[in-house]
Amino acid sequence: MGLLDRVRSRKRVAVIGIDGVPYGLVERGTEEGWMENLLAMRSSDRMRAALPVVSSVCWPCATTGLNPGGTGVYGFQERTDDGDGLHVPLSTDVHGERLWDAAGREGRSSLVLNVPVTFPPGETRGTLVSGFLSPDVDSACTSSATAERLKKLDYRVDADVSLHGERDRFMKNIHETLDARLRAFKNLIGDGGWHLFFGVVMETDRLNHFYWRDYAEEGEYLEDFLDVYRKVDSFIGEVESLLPEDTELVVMSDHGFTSVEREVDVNAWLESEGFLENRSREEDNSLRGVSGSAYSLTPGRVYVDLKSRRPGGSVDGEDYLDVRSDLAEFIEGLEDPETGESVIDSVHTREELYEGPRVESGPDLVAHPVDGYDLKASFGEGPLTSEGPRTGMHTLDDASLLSTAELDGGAEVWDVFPTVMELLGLRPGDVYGTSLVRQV
Amino acid sequence: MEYTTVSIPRELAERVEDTLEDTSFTGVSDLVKFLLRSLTASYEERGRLTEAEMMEVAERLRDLGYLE
Repeated sequence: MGLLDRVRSRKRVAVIGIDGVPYGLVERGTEEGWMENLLAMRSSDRMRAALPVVSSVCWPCATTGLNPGGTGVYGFQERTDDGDGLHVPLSTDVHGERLWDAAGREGRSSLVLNVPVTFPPGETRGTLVSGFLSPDVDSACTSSATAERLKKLDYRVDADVSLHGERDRFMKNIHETLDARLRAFKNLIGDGGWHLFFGVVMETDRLNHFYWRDYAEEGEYLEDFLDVYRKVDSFIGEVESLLPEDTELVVMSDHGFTSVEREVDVNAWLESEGFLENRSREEDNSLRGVSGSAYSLTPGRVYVDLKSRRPGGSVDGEDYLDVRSDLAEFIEGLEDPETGESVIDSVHTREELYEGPRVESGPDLVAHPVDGYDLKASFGEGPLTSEGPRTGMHTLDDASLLSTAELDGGAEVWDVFPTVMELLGLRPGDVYGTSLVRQV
Repeated sequence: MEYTTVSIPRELAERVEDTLEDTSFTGVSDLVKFLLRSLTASYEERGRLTEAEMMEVAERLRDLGYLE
């Protein structure tokens, strides 16, 4: 088939992302009636996220169909390719073609709102407003008209997480941010003229991080917590009725959530065993001053400190496999010093997890924790384990995928790209994920 | 907005016109604009974060526990 000689279909797809919503919560919501619009979905199942389990890894995988070895994004902070620097990956660091660009190439227009790692916003066929990491609404938009329109609706890029210490105020802020977001989404969706809608609600992730215990243990903010989900459910119902007839709806999350018991500082552990000799770095956004045979970056990424990778590195190439295997053994054996319980569920090598042209920039090992232990990596003097202000942590196996279309179960997050492409009537191309559209 | 004119052989324009049926491109000009924008996008420095903005982003990431 030629470039524009496709099935002449007017198929449309609307993807509503609900960041960090575990399938267990969806099940409970449909049973207890606070997410009943989801009962109308034809397919509904858990989906497996990517490792390491963070939004900046999972959304690029979902929207390119690639494994992190293809996108090249392994976390909210990455090593620079040479030197001691660390940087926060932006949209320009995501390798692979994004869903809306692939659709645009085939003449389909998109409305893309608030998807993680889309700042700075690129030109796409349609409208794109970038998400988290955008400094403000103006810089999140390529069109000043869109920015003005959003500001009139009191749209904000993100909830104000700095308020988390003031629980009442923060909950109010989450609700205000959510209300404005849903209002803006409905407003822009109503314009029509798109084949693909891809909008992500982030407030669920912010809520889950700081109020999970209120949900899990019926705490003070339980009703406010459920209200967020009631609003999201209402929104999904309203969008469904706004959608043109031939539109398939997909509702997805990028990872799940569970309660945090302890935060575990992998760098503190590496230091205690002698893998990391000096943990203090000279400045933020740099590894300068750090020395040893290995270090970690959040969450659970461990890097062998090779001489060939940065000036401060100390491990010779020929020792790489031995050091890595010693590290893996040590990390697998980590135990909670208070309870003696195992902290780590599994440790994976780079080759096991990643495939694609950007594997070399990935972590050498990725540790996946047991539920309840959230893996951190500080470069200061923090203790081995601690309790942070967050009560919820990400999980790997229970992201959610629901749709009005008939989709197979057992999805992995990178399957979203080829699935949506197929629902649009387009060929997915050569990607790591596979389409879940049920073959009749 | 100001415009400049680009010339392509009429025969090519007609072949392209035929393939645009049932897409959302409104004509040859629309397709060409889209293709050129896509090609040039990667060469443009669009919206980078300033030092101050970078620090604010880092704070947010720290509050969320994604950064230490």
